[in-house]
This record gives sequence, structure tokens and C-alpha cells, in this order.
Amino acid sequence: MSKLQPDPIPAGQNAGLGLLTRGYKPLAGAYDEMMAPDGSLRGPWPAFLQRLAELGEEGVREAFAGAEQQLKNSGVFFRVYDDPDGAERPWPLTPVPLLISASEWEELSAGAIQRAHLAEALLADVYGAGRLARDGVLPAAAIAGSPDFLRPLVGVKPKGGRFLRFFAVDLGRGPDGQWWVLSDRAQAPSGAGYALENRLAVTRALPEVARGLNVERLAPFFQAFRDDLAALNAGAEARVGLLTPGRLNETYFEHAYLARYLGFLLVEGGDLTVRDDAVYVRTVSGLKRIDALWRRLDGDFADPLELRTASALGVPGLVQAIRSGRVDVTNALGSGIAESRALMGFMPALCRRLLGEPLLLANLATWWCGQEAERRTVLDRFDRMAIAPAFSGSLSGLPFWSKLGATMSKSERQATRTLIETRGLDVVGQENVGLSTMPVWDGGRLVPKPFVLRLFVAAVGDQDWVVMPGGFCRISGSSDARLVSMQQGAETADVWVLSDTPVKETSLLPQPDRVAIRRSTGTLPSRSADNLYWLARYLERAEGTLRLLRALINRLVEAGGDADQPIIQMLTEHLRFIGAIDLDRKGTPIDLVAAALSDPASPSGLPALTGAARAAGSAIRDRLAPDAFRAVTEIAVLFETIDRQRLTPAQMLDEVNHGLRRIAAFAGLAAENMNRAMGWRFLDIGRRIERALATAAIVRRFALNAPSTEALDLALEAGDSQITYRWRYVMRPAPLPVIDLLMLDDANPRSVAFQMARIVEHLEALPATRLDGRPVELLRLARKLDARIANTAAEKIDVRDIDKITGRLLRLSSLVTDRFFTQRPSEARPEELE
Amino acid sequence: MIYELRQETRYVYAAAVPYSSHVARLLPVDRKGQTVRQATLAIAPTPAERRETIDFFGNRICHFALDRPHDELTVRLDAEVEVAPAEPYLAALTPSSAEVRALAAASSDPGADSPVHGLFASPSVPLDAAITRYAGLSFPARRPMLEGAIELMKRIKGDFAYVLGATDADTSPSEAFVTRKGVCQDFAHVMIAGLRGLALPARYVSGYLRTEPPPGQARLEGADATHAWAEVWCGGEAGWVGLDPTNGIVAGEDHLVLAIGRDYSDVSPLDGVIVAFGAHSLTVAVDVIPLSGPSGKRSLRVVE
Repeated sequence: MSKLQPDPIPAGQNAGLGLLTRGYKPLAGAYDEMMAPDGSLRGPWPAFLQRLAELGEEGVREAFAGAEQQLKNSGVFFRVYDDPDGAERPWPLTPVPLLISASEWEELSAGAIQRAHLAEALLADVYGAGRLARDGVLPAAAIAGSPDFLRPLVGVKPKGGRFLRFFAVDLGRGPDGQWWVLSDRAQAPSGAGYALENRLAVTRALPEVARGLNVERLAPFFQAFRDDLAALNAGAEARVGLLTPGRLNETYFEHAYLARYLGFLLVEGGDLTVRDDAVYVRTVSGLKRIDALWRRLDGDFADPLELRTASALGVPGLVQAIRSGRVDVTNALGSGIAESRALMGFMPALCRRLLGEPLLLANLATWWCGQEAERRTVLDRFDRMAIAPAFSGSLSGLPFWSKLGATMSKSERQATRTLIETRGLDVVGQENVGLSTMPVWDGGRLVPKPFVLRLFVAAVGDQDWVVMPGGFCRISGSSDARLVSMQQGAETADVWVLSDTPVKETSLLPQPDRVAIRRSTGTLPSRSADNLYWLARYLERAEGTLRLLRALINRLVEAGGDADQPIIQMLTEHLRFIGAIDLDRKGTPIDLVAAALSDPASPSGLPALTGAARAAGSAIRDRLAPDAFRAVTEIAVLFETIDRQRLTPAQMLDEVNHGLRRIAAFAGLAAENMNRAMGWRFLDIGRRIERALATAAIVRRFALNAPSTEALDLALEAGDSQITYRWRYVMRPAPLPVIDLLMLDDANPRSVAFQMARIVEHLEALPATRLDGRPVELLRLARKLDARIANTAAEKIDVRDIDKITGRLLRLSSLVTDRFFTQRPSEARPEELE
Repeated sequence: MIYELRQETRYVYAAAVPYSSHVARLLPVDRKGQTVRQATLAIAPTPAERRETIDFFGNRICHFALDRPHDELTVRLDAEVEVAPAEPYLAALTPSSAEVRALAAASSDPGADSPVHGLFASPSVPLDAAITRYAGLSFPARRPMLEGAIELMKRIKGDFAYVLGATDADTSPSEAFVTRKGVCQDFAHVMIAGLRGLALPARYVSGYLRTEPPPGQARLEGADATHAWAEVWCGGEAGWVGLDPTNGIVAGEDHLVLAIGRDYSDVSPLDGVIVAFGAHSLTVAVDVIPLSGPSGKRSLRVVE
């Protein structure tokens, strides 16, 4: 439908352009976004290439490499479902953006808005009066067949009055230059967050190019979306919730990223609970009501009570909360039906009926085989059709997602035709459209690759829609430009909508004048607190273990291989005791060090500890600064990739020091960059408890019962207190001063006394540590332990004392868990409504 | 026939449950041929929250939540239900299965009793090529729909063994089909899967069945269990007809309908989400006691 193509400009006019377009050849039979068949450049491309060419060949290469680096640095990942390890991959971005001129954008955005409007009207009818079916416009079976038709939601009006607030449409451009709607995305469309990241990466890599071209900003779109949800949540006690299926979801990164970006609270089903038909988030300060949720999990998983009963991802009672109008869920549960391919064929008629106008953007021709005439058409033109499931999910007995009739094997063909004859209800035939291509940077030159463009539409106010001026562009890995071969994009590209007039600078971050000043601690979901706490504990334990390993390596080197020295025996024994070395592992001490550094099977070896830290960090990515998360990831990768066989003692020492530096870097980032709100407190409590436990264990083994000077030296080294000791006592280590310094000296930041004082401070500052005005057991225990340590003298400390202190510390940890994380209502009752 | 209906469902938890929320689909409603004279649901301990709704299929749903630690939950239904002998209907007069298939696919009715809700795979009844082939044998071209469905029901009754404990609530129809055994839920699911595989509308009924006592013996109270069967859509005139593949009979005056849905997952009598550490045990006792004698003319609803 789009005929607005500005006059092409010959490519040869400029030597710089030639550099970039040399050898570029559009695919036969496909429309190319950049180059017309005669080799001339289209619309906005000459201006873009011109600016790019000004950077020079080397400059272009550097800029593009910079974009990749930027993405890596920002920590953009996606999870690969096919990967058995559930590994995360860096985000694949090609640095050349898709360019869309202002005039073309006008058409596309009007079409996208109409599509959103249409889907909204369709949902309102399907979950409302059902006239479309009764009046014969839409067969009832075309609705009933969708697994996303959620019957418990029939007759339920969304609290905010709208079924859709965040909609997307996938577009492709045919060989004749016409844009087609390939599919509607009404459930929980992904890609908008990635689009933001792509924009950041590309504009940072090509700042001059972007500035010169009047690229429309993305931020106002997100602001509009956020403001509407925030208005629905105005009276709530917690921020708007972004409901994610969790960190195993392939687009979890995007959920965390958008939550941070929009200022929403990232929650999983388990974080929420329904009481008296209202939705509450479990936080460390008790239950806090949420009135608006942006869900990123499929509707049928949202409530195990009324929807898919086996779902562990949802919130029991959510449907009832929606029904009673206490919460608005965006998009409405059940909106996924608007994505059915079965509906595509009805869209032209539905548009006329519901909106009283024809479709603005062409609709991918689709025949639903639940109808007799359509079934005949598909069977007659089988070879030319793309055959696909009519609804979400795959077709029973057929091993494909969407396939061209002509490319099926004989048996597939037979099975498919039989299926269409008996259960045509489940099948559609679709026109096999070709896609257009865009230039993709590949091996130092531009090559044409097919792509699909996703546009995002958000609701504003009661009636209006706004389109994100940009989009999410997925590029095919192959040069086959048929839609059927474009199932997963191999790469993505930024999308630049070019304005005819200069574009106002809008920051992607919240506008200072729009943000109300708030110094309250905010809402910290219990699960986030739990993960912060364990992240800190694992890293602290890793740090302590590394210190012990360093001490052992140093002594082994000094001893010149004499492994029988008592201090070396004591050290390896201690490392076995704390789990860094397997109890039954044999070998020379240096082998044991190598195992602690590299063997993932050791329960508290470095790979296990740092891997667990990374897992905890991944679950709270919305709460960690990207730098902090990257630091955690790097630490884990360091010990994952150590090659044990090749390590000399000197290299081991390098790795240990390397690891210690990275952990220190994380601690620094956490201390400097984390708001001293509740999240930071849990991180710090975790570190303090772990450190107190480790220090107590060191004192017990190395400083009690007539210790040798070597043992005392080691206690000071492992407790990182040598310098303090030398400052205080200009003499060689003696037992009582060492015990005092490590256990009781509240001026030594490594001492148990110091840790306890900090823990008490944190607990006193945290909410819900008192019930009825009296301190709960957790706080009582912490204070008692603190006082006990403060009132003890070094000469009184014996093994029994240390074991008692250790027991109390472990009890403290389990009370923290009960009180703030699992919220068992035993002693504390944070779940009581406030 | 008027029945006194009692069902007691009792959960015993190994560790006290601090919070739980439930959905009970245990209250019968008026339906064609069935009048509910009274029905109450008693829940112990007393729920903190309780409300009733009517679901998409017209079933009466009770939502309730318990917010105090409890180690036991008892839900007890007491009801009086009258089941009328239905109009006789000639199976031979129903449209052919091909006609039924076309009528259902083209239906313009989105409502609860529309055949379209019985056409597609559902959470507990995925389609299965082998079951579809098995069912297909009962539907040669032009055969009246209900004749074919009754034959299919009888074949299932004949080919499958009723074995308590051979399956559980999560057993798929495919599994039951391979082992050729199961309980009423499996029989109904297999039949539904077969019909849907042929694009013929079928749905699931949970309810109760009066077990006839042996002649001369007193009826054993509490010996009965909840029952399940299938309904098959036989065209606009006959509508949904209940067929009980466990017993190989057309649902009649002995069948009390509790709830209707696409499969077990839609009508599971008591669902709950509990916050708990530990196991639980479940006991269900059902009594279906005829209050009035047979009305004399116990006509079959369907004449074969």
C-alpha cells in the first residue's frame, strides 16, 4: 500500500558511498530497503551512508565494533531455550539501522494504530457481548479454538476499561514495495526493551550520524505508557508491577531492563498474593497492595486456581481480583486470542464491521480451513501455500511450525492434507509472501538480508494510541527472502524513524521535573532481598576461600614443596572443613588448591560459589547496576574457565589475586553505587554474617589452644588483619591479642564484633523487626549476641564459646530467612495487612 | 427421582498449612432434566474469605481462603436433587457425523452450550492420532451421529478395563488408551479425545451415579464415588447427549450432573493452592441416596 518512495539517488555520485555500497546487490525478486534494482539509493539512505562514509573505512569499523562492545557492557543477554544448559548469549545486533522516512512512517504508524484499535474492539466483543459470532461475522469456533480464549474471563471488564495497553504488529514488505501485516501481538509482545538497548548502542557508536539525521526519540512513547499504568496504580502501596515468568524465560533480561527503565517493580508470581480480592506484593515490610500489573507471562499461566492448574508461575486468585475490579492487568488475560492466525482471514471484514473503515495496511492473505470453501482453496493451491497452525501451539502429528506446501516430503504432505480434511479447524493456509531486505554489516561489508519489523503501540487515555517511533527489527540468518524461512531472527537492528524537522532531545531516563522526590525506602520484594542476601554471602565466602588458598600457595612456595609442615596440614584440613576441597579428594596440596579453584564438583569450591552468586544476581538483575552484575558474571566466568591442568603455582596465585580484585570491585560498586536502602542492607547483612562465621572458624582452628606463631600469622592473614595488628602491637603475634583483634575489637572491620554491630544496626533500621512494639526474636538474638561479644575478654574465649557464637550466627541467619524471605507466619507476621 | 446427595472431602496435612486458597466446583445447578431443590456447602475450618460465582459453563463455583494455620480441611456438600426422566430421542434421527462436523464448525453461538467448546484439544485432552483412528471406526460416512457415538462408547466399555488406582488425575488419555485401563475420568477423556480428533464436539461431565444395590441387599452408604462421563453434541435438535463409557450406558435418571467443562481440569471438584511443607492425605466419601421410589416409567432418554 505504501507507494511513497522518494526519488532514488544514484550511488556512484560520491566516492565515500561507493566504499560502503561496493558489491552490494539486491536479491533477485526482493525489494531492497537501501538500493533500487538499478543500483540507485533510496530515500534516506544516501544521507546516512554519506555521514557514515565521512568516518572513513577504519572509522566505520571502529564505530561498529564499539556498538557491539556497548551491548556487551550493558549486559544485554537472552536465554537460548534450545541450549541444554540454558545458557545466555550476548545480544546479536547489527550496527546499521533500518531507516524509515517521515512520510512512510506516517502510513505505517496509522496502520499500526488501526490494528491496535481493531484488536481492542475484537477483544471487547469476544469477552463481552459476542455479537461478532452471533451476527455471523466470525465463526464461534475461530474463537473457541484458541488456547488463549480464557473462558473464566468472559464477561469481565478490565478495571481500566481497556483490554490492550501494549500491542505490537509484525510487518514485512513485499516485492512490490507494499508493507504487509504478518501478525498481531496482543499477549505480551517482547522486543521493546531490546529496541531501547539497540538504540543506545547504535547511537553511542554513531553519535554524529544519528545527530545529523533527526532520529525520532523512543523515550516519550515509554513515558506515555508508564504514565497510564501509573495512573491506574495511583492509590496503591507499591509501584506498578512487571510480572515476569522468571529468570529462565528467554526474554527475562528484557523484563528486568524494562522494570528498571520504567521504574516498575519486577515481580514473579510467587511474590504476589491475593487477599480479599486485591493483589499484594510480599515485601520485607509486609504485604503492599498493587493495583496495576504489566504481565509478561502468558495469560493461561496467570492463575493456577482458575486457569492452567499446573502453573507454578501464576498468582492464585488473580482472576478473581481482576473480576472484582481491584487490579488492572495489562494486557488483559486472554488477549492472546487476537494473535490467532485463524482470525487473520477475517480481519478485512472485522475492520469494516468494528471500525467502519477498510484496513490501512494490507493483511497477509489467510484461509482458515475450519470453513468449507477456504479448506477447498487451501487444498487446491496447496503447493503455493504456507501451512501453519491456526492457533498458538503446534499441530498435532506435524513436525513443523509453518511450511510451504511445495517443500513438504511425501509423507508430510499426506499427513497435512488428511489433517486439513478432518481437522481443518486447526490449520490455516497463508500466502507465501516474500520479505524485503536491508543492508547488514557482515564480514566488513554490507549485504542484503531479509527482515521483519515489529512496531509497538501503547494505549494513552481512554481512546488514544501512540506508536513507538522506531521498532524491533529481526533479520534472517539466510538470504532466503520468503516469510516461511524467517522463523527466528539471527540478528537484530535498530530502527530509525527520520523526522523532517529537528527532534527534541529527550533523555531516556526519567525527567527530573517529572519525578516526585521520594526518600522512602520503597518496596523490596522478599525474593529480591533473599537473593541479595545470598549473593553477598556467596561472594564473601568466595573471598575468604581465596584468601586461604593464597595463604596456602605462599606457604607451599616458601616451604619449597615440603608438604609435611604442620601449618600446611592445618590449612588443607581447614579448606576441607569449609568445603572448598572435597573431603575424600587425594593429592598433593598444590593439586588440592587447583581443585578448589577449578572443580565444579567441590561443594564450596570457587566455581560452585561464584556460580551460585551469579545465579542469585541474575534473579535480581533489576536491582543491580549493570556494572555490578557484570562484575558478578566475570567472577563466575573466571573460575568456570580456569584450566586446572596447566596451572603452575605462580599462575594460581595470579588467578587468586585476580579473583580477589574482582570481588573487591563488586563490593566497591555495591558500596558506592547502591542506594543505601533496604536492598543494600540485605546485601550487607549477608556479607556480615558470612564474614563473622568465617572469622570465628579461623580463630577456632588457628588461634586457640597454644597456637604456633605460624598459625597465628595465618589467622591474621586469612582474617585480613595483619596490618592492623602490626599497627597495634609491634611484636610477633601472640594468642590473646590475635583473638581480641579478630573476635572482639569493634574497631577492626574484619572482627566478629564489628560484624555484629553492623548487623544490629541494619536490623534496627529494617521494617517489621518489631511486633507490638517489642523486638522480635531476630532482633533480640542479634542484640544479645552483640552484647555478649562486647562484654567478653579475650582470655575467656575457648572452643565452646566460639561454637556457641557460631550456633547463634546460624540461628540468626535462619531467623532472617523466616522473617524477611519465606515469611513463615510462625513468629513474625509480616503478612498481616497493615 | 429425588436424591439426597452428600459428599465429604477431607484433607489432612502432615504440617499445619498457614494459608490456602481454593476453588470448589461442588454445587449442582439446575439443568435440563435436573432440578436442585437445595444445596449447601459446609467448609471447616470456617474460611476467612468465601464467595460464589457462576463460571463460563454455568457451574456454581465457590472460592474460599483459609488464613489461619490448619492441619485439616473438610468440605461437605448436602443437596437434594431431582432428576427427571428425559424425552425419548431416536439415535437414528440425529444428523450424520459429517453434518454434525459442519454444523459445529460453522456455529454462530459463542455461548456455554455451543458445540464449539467441545471441538478442540483442551488442557487434559490433547488430541491423539491413535485414539482418533480408533474412534473413526465407529463413524462410517452417513451414519447418524448418536448411533456412532453410542457404538464408540460401547467399544470403550468393552475394550477397556476399569481398574482403580491404575491411573491418577493427571493421566493423559493417550496413556490410558495404550494401557487400555483406567477409571471413569480416563474412559471419558479417551472418548472425548476420539470424537474431537474427528472434529466432533464432545465435553466432560462430573457428577454422581446412583449405584443400584444388589437385589435384597441394603444399599451401602458411602460406597459410591464421584463419577464422570462424556457429552456428545448431536446437532441442534438433540443437542448434548450424555454417554457413560464406564458403564456403556446413555446417561439417564441415575446420573446427577455436578459440573460441565472441556475436560477434568475445568471441573475438578476441589482445587487449591496451599503454602505448606509436607505431604497431605485425601479422603472422599459420597452418598447418593434415592429419596423417592422410581417413578414407574423409567424410560431411557435415548432409544437406540
